[in-house]
Amino acid sequence: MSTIDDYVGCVVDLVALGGVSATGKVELRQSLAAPGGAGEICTGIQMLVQRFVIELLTEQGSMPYAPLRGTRLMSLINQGTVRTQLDAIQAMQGALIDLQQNLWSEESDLDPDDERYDSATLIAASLTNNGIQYTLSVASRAGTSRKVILPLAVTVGKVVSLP
Amino acid sequence: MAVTIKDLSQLNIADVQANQQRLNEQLQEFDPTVQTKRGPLGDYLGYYGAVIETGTQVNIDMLQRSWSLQQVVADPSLADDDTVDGILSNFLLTRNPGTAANGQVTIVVSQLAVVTIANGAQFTINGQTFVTLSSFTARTSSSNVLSATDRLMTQLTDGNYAFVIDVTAQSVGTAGNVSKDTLVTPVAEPSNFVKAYTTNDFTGGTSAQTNAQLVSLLEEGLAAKALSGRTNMNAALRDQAEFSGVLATSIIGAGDEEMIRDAHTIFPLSFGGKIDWYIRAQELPQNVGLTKTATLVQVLDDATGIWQFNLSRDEVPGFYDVPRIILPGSTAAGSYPITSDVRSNDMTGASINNVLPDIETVTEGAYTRYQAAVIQFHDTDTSCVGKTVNVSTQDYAVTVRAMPLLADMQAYASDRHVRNAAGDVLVKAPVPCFLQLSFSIFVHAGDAEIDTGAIATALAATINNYGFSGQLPAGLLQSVVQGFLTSGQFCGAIDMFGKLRRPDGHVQFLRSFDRLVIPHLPSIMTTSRTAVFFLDPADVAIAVETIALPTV
Repeated sequence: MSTIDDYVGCVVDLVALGGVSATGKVELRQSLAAPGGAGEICTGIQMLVQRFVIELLTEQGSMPYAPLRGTRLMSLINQGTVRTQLDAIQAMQGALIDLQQNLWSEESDLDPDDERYDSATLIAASLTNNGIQYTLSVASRAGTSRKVILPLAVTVGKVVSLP
Repeated sequence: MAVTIKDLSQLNIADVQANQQRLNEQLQEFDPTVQTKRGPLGDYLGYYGAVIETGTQVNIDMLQRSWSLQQVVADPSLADDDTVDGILSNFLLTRNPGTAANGQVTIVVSQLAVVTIANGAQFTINGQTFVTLSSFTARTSSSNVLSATDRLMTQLTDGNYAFVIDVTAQSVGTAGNVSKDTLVTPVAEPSNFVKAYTTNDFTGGTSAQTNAQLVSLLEEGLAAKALSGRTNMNAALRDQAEFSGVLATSIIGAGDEEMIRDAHTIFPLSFGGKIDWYIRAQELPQNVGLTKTATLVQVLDDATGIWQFNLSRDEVPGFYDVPRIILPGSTAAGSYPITSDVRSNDMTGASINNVLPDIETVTEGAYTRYQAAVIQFHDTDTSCVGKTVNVSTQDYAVTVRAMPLLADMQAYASDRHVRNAAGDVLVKAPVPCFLQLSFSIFVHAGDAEIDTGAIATALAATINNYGFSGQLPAGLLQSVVQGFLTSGQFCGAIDMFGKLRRPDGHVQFLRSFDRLVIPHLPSIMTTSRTAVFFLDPADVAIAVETIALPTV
């Protein structure tokens, strides 16, 4: 169990994706504060994973004064160009290149290693009836990692039977 | 005083990013535990904070520039109009909001029948909308013309009938100053309509003064409005509502090389006390249409004749030249050639309240309201068989080119209560140098079409507002053209061709690809201080050429 000493020198951020559990599979809640609650803060690997998810799902060009922030993943998916599992893998691999460049560009050597992005590994990508589901492993420079499951509910190409 | 708040979507991206970086650093110094990288805090505090702060900075900068006279003078284009108006009102200056052009339209119909043009009827001329400010009724007989809005129909040589109505531009601006004989399209055609065209050049259209133009008049706002020093004289002139739109002036007085009139004695000395006031009232001279009765003065061997008519000093005061003479109703292009243009001075009408300026020679009186002329021309169409020299007459449609308001400005300057008690002020139209420009624009295949009309208009606006400069550098024109071109497109050498009509009646041609310079001829009052350039957009020839790129 961590103690307060573990967080000396660390920075904190608001939790945008709440309900995180260190183990197990839980559905995250996208809100800065739950009804009746006062919101939460996060740090360390959880804050890194939150940065990773926000950066990954931001459409590149959607922030007028930071046009290079984000990735092209959601743009490709929304355009309907992701129709096969191979398309889904290629879209994610391309997005991870943009993402790595953006996250590294805002980090410095003074930041704690568990808040610094090291790499992400695509574990699985599958097309479902509701969209695409990605499973990734995000690793920090400290060697810690977390698994992220992203079920993206979007319209993808479907096989139809012709008469 | 309103300052327009800048839209947050129109900020400079580099400014926002610099502010975001500074905000992040300040937040970290204030609270080292705050995460300023990508995430809720970084996005809301850093990114959006920077956007809001940059917008605030832009507005504060604009306000500071607007409130400081020093800043407004340094760069008038950056200041807020309303705030500048407020500052300059302290110096008794008011912005000219611009005026709408007006003029007359000739409507041609096929039948001799009463035609009514409704109040508010719209007409399109060169893309500009003009309206009637009252209803007009075309009458078939002069006995039925009972009011100012009743217009008499006259028969044309082609069997049609014509009448004239007055129209005014719907919008203010110089774009409404359309030329004589420009095609007019009615939005709703009158009955029996054949065609319509502008009777004369339209006048009176001025654009709202820019901050730069207003600031340039700052000195005049403070100056006493009297015919005294040069600044005072200009302030006095522009203080009159009808002359507030005057574009440029040049005042020649004691000690100036161009001042000839103050040496009218047997001694070869200048005694002062005389002023020649060159005034450019608007961008281009006005083409005025007249119907003149000419007298046959000579029959040539081919049975055609030389005809003559007079232009009195009051018909088109201070006119420059007569660019066109044709038979009434003729649609032929061109003009009968002028064989003689003899100017004179009509110095009648002096009184205690109308002291006439001291003018001795025709050259001194050129382009003043006292100028008169006898024009002879060769009518190459009319047979003179059976006609008698010095007896036979015939009507001609004559177009005369002149700077407007000259007689009114001379009347103002000569007024007993306005003029300097010891002074003699002669108002003159500037010595004209009529320009033609031709050049090529080089583009690549597939480029968007070049708007050559807009380029010609911009060039004319630049040159016609260039004041008494004495020279016209090609670089100035190149920079105007370049503003319409995109990367990879460029403008070739600009052929500047000028026709300088000197006060002594001679026409001198100027040509350069580099810098067109007004010759220094002070003895005939032609120098950089008395001459100006005129450019009609129709006199700009632009060839768009496509460049073939090599395959490499």
